[in-house]
Amino acid sequence: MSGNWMSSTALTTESAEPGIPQRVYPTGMILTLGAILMFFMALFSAWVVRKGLSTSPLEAPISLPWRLLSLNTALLFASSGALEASRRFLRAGDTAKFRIWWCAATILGVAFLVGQFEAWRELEGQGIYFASNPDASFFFLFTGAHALHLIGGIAGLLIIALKPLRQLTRNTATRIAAIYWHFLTLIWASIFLLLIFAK
Amino acid sequence: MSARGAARLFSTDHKVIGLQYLFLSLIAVTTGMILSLLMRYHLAWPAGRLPFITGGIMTPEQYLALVTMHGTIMVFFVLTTAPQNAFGTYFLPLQIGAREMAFPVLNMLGFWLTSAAFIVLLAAFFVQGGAPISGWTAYPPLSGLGDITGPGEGMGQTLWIVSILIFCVASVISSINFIATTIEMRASGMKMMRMPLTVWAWFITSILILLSFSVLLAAGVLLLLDRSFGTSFFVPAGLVVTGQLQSHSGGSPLLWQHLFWFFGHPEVYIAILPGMGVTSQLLSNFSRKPVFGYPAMVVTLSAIGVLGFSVWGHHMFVSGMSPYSGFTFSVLTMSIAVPSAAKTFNWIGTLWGGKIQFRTPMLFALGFVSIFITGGLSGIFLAQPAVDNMLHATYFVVAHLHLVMGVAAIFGVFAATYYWFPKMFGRVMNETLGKLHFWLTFAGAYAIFVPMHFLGIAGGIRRYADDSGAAYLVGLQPLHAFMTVAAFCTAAVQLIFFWNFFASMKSGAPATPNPWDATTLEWAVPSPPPPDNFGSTKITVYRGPYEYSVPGAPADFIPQNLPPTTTGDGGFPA
Amino acid sequence: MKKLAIIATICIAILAMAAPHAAGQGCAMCYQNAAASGAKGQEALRHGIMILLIPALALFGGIVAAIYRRDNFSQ
Repeated sequence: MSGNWMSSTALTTESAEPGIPQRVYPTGMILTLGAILMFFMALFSAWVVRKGLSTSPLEAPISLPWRLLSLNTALLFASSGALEASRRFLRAGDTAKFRIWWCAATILGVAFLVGQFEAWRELEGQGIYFASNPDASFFFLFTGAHALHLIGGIAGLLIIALKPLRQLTRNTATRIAAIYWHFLTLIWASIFLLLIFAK
Repeated sequence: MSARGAARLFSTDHKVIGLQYLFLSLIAVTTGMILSLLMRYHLAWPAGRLPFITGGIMTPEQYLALVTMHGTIMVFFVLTTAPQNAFGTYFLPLQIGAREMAFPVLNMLGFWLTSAAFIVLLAAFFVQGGAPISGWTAYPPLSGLGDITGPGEGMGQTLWIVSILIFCVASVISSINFIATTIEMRASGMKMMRMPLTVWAWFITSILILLSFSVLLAAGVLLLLDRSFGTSFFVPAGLVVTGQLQSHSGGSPLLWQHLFWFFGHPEVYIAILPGMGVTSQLLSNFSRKPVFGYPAMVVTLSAIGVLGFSVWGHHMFVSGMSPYSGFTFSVLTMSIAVPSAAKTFNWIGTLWGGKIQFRTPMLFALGFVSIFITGGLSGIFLAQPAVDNMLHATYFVVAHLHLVMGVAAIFGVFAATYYWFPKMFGRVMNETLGKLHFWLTFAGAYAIFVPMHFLGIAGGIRRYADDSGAAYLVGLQPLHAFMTVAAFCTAAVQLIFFWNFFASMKSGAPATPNPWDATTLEWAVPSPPPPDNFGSTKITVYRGPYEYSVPGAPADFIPQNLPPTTTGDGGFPA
Repeated sequence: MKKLAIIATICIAILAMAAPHAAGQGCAMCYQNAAASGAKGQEALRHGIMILLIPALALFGGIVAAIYRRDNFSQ
């Protein structure tokens, strides 16, 4: 008997687990995206079902700030592009350019968020709030949920830029950050298209 | 707390975390059981007095609060936690030959989030208004409007929702860990068709968790928004509650059901699949025979997973005026019976002709099969829409769900506990007490739930605190009393298990590394396993997981990692 | 042939006997509520179901495919 069962410990401050291969991180990230996808699909499904089941008289459609939303969309796509450019430089070994483009991507992401806040402010200026009517609720819900996930993404980008992660190589870390980021860009594109077709 | 103590408490070792989950689920099941005993007491003796209730007699709302919390605690903190998170976290890496899980820190985080969720849930008992009364399914508008709809629907319901949201995050994190570990961290030679069926069960269950809990998270967020931010996702227009017209409009209660049951159906399979995996493992081990039809067992596990989602769709899927739609609905709903029946057939096939050893883990595995069949039978009735019309919301449903989830699934947990206790603690549980525990619980479970079917057919309505006012049920009140006495007795019997568990942990006979002469990898390491599981040995797997009684082999079992040259089996390719 | 007949009979017998929770707890209620929600509601529910079901099944298949592809790897 090799000792009391409570003696199996691994200190949380220990260095990287030697036996954990790098390939688990992209796999884990893709699985996370699966969960996040189902979350957004639930919101989408809720929107479709509620619209069909609602017995309320015709709800006033809200007018969205399209110019601002289109600009934001462009910003987010630009940030994805910047992120990919940054990774290309990392693969080529050009650390300086990698950092510049990584920062550019982060800044564009922040710009997108600022734009989103502006869009919400514009709606609130028109007297349209979260609970004003179900269409407004869903707009704020979709954009809000996406923004929250993006904030997490920005935090990830900053962490990778500022501090090397113990368990992950830089290649792995940038790869999973990019997967997450591009996924959120796709989610935004889908939300944007949904808003267009819902008009 | 010392640094060492903190390191142990927040350990990222999957074995420690597995045990932490196990102890959490033991606390949860004790709590849930006490709540159910309070319910059963009131049902048998509605005028009976209880010391800690103001006024002495339980009110219907208090009864509903018990119903809600009992269901929530049992479904989430026992049935999702023990079979999957407790035993899976402990034994998945061992059984696939891995040193650790893919994400040890996330693993630890998952446990502590689950614990936090449990504490938040229990807090609902202690806030103003008490625990929520909307059931474990929390249907709006009852749950969507705040305390105006009833006691417990204020802070209590909010805490319930927050608890579930935390639990969703914890579950999704842990499922990511399980799936990534199973895909990426198998030892050399551990091909997917050589994985033990327990691993397959945990794997498929993790996929179900990943996909369904995300949707529950969304639903919970929407409900919280309806309650606290005035939105109307679920609350329709024109509701008058206690004389007050509510200002909501545009929502649909059916939307909640749509979202909730997308989670709810897979959830019952999440609760049972690990038990099926354990049963396959144990029936094989204690019959000294390979699992009959291993590939079919893998396919059926996957099929149950897939169909678990699809069945949800069929409950809500109304194809319109077609006269055939009801038939299609019914047939497709019952289609999930096919893989389950196939599994049962294969379990019997595994036992057939085996040298059966009636040890305690085996008894619970056999009990699982028995109760799964019994409980499953009543499911067939409920699958017919016409019959379900009559039996819906009666005690027939309660009896059915408790047999499959409350008894069969728990038997799976008991089986796993008795089976893996030697490995986890390096000691052996008392066999006599184990057998006593089994037989008394087996008898007790049937004593509680078989009569309940008849109560349901007679029209006994679930969730009612007191049947004694209904003239057509007065004659059946003795049945309530019988079930309550049986419940109390069966609950008392569990003390035997608790005594056995904790006493053996401290002073049971020392265990050999492989007391059951089993083939899977966890038995190839000392009991308990060292921190890095396999030490410096590189694990290679040469054969499938159930090579028992192989003709010509020197022993009646061949461990998965034994090199072929020493066993004379030429390294079976399976 | 006889063996097959015996196996088939046992299969059907067990099929008829052993089926689990095929019905959810809200079975008849869901179905009837859905049936009562009018044509627009039913269509919305159908679409809503597909929106959840298709990604879920696709992800399920994808993950099982992933483990299939990872087979035969060595550390």
